[in-house]
Amino acid sequence: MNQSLANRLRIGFAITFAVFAVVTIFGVGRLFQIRSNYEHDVARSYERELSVGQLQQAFQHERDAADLDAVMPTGAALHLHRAIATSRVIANTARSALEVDPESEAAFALRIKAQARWLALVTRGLANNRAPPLAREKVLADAVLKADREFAQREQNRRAELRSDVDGDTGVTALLVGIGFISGLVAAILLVSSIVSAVRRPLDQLVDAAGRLASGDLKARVAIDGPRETAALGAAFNEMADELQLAYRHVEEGHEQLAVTVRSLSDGVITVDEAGIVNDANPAARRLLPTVVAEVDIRHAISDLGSPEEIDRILADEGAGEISLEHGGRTLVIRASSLGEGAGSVLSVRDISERNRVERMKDEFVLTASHELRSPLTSVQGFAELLLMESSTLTPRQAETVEIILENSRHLVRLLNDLLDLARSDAGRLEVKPIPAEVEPLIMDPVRAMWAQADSKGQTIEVEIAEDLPLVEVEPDRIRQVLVNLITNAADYSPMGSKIRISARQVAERIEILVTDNGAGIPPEQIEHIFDRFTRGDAGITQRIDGTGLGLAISKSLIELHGGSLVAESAPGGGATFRISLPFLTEIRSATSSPAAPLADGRPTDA
Amino acid sequence: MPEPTRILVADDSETILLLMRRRLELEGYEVITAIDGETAMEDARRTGREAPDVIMLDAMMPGVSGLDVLRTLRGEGLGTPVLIISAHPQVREMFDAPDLEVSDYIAKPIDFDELLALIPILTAE
Repeated sequence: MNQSLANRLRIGFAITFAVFAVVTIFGVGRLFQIRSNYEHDVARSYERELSVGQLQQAFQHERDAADLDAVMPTGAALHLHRAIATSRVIANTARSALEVDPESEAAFALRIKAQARWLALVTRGLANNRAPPLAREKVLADAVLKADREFAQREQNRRAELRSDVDGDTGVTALLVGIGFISGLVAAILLVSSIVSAVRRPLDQLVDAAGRLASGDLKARVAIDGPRETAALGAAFNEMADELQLAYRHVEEGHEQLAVTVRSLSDGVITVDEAGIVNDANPAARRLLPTVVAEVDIRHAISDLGSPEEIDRILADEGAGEISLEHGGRTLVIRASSLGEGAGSVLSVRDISERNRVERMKDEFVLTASHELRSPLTSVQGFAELLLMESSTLTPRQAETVEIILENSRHLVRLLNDLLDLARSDAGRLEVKPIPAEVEPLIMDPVRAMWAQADSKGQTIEVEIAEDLPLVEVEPDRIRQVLVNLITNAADYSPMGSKIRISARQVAERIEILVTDNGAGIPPEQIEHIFDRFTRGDAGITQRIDGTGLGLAISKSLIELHGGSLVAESAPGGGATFRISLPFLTEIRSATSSPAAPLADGRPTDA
Repeated sequence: MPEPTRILVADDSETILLLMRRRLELEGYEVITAIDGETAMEDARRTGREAPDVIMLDAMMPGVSGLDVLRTLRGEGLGTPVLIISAHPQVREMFDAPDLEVSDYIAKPIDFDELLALIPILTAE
């Protein structure tokens, strides 16, 4: 059953060809045989007839030689003998043609016997030297002639019989050959039709299954049978259908998982078509925005919350923009992302009220905690100072211990101040109260404050301030705080005896203040995180350095609050440069110089 | 021998009061402490030899707060210089009224160098 189609065809054609060949060979051979036998028989028949004819002639000669009518001359006997000899030769020749033909032999024997009887009569007469009785001789001669005629007639009949036989045989043979050919043809037709049907059934199945598959019946399969070719085709089809089913299942599963995910999101998800008509909204979206249901225009659905133009804007922006809505005491943020050309958009709705509340709580907590810590810190620091004031009664070791307590409580205060600033910055409550200020005192105050510390490390601070710089509008304490921080960093991260350079100049519409050291520099992988919280340089160095890890983050926030920027530049081993860029006042160029407003909280700056 | 400068310190923390007393006495001042707002008001109202020359007031006290104390005292016409001590930077805005006549502010943790530098200035006024 699983023969291949090609093999079946080959075998079928071989069998058909063999049948035709056998039939042809058999038919031709048989016809040839029949013809040859017939010709042989006919030839023998003619031969016999001819021999008998010759015998008759010889007999006539004998009769003539006998010269029955004449007076028997002496020469008659001689003639007769010669004729008899001739007759015998002919008879012998004729007999040889009668072999294996008993009927002819018998007839021939009769004929010879008749002639022998005649000859006996004639010979007897001759011997008596008288003419044989003519009547008797005539009867005997007629008998010979009659036998001859009968023999000839017999042969003629026999030939007719042979001809009829050969016709019959030829007919039978032709019939057989015809039957053979027809059987071969029938076999060939059967073979072809069996092959066609063998191919057709699986092909029909395939066509049917392919149709069902195309119309979505993924379970459509075919039975793998028939010739090897269609079986292979069927197997390939089934495999393909399996793959399709599997892939479809994966897609369905993915789709289902995605749907569950979208349903379970606490953020609202709304899909809209190109025209802004809502296709679908997940439960969170329906809860947050009850007016958003399928088939309404999103712009109308939330028109009482935000302007339709806003929605249009974020839909057109392809996710670049977001809008914030106040709805039912909640703050909702809506973002849009395009689903592709002509496929509409997906809108995400996030309820940030809780986050805002938690943020506020966190900020409150940090603010409260940092304040509550201040009273105990006052005590720790104050009593340690008291103890140190009585240092005459302390051993050097005890004095050192108290120094450590003091130093650490100061560090704690710095940390608290920094945390407070950051919390305020996060809460958007870090405010600066800018006033017009001159650049020079902004730089020189912190430099003077840092002088002693730098000197203790053998470091020098070089200051270079361009002349006639315009005023900047800043909160001086805050700028001092930043500079103290930057200079402290420069001093901490530079070796003994190194040089710290501070310069100020006007660059285009801004004032640039650069703090440069020639320390180890900042590795490239750290420079982008240098302003992150609690990020400090190389651990080996920083362990020795007393900082909070918050200074740069705060400095950046503060400078940005002033509308400026703070960037770090460094080549490893080549020192680091911190570049403050501040806008300056174009209107007031000289006039009110009002440096050094009273300390904001009276608390120590970050140094 | 001149009368030592008398300083009234009001704070809700015993520890802070002890610290202030020790430190200020070490510097030669006479110290009166008050653990709450009401005591502070009573002590502030003392007259003659007992009257404080400078009042250091903790802004945040439970019950009668520093602000209440100052408002009441100023309402009674008391002109003693007052130094507000606070952990909260916003305190400055709370006390930012001309009739309260706050002399200065000191943040916690207290920088005693700053505080001690302020006292002669306040008493000189």
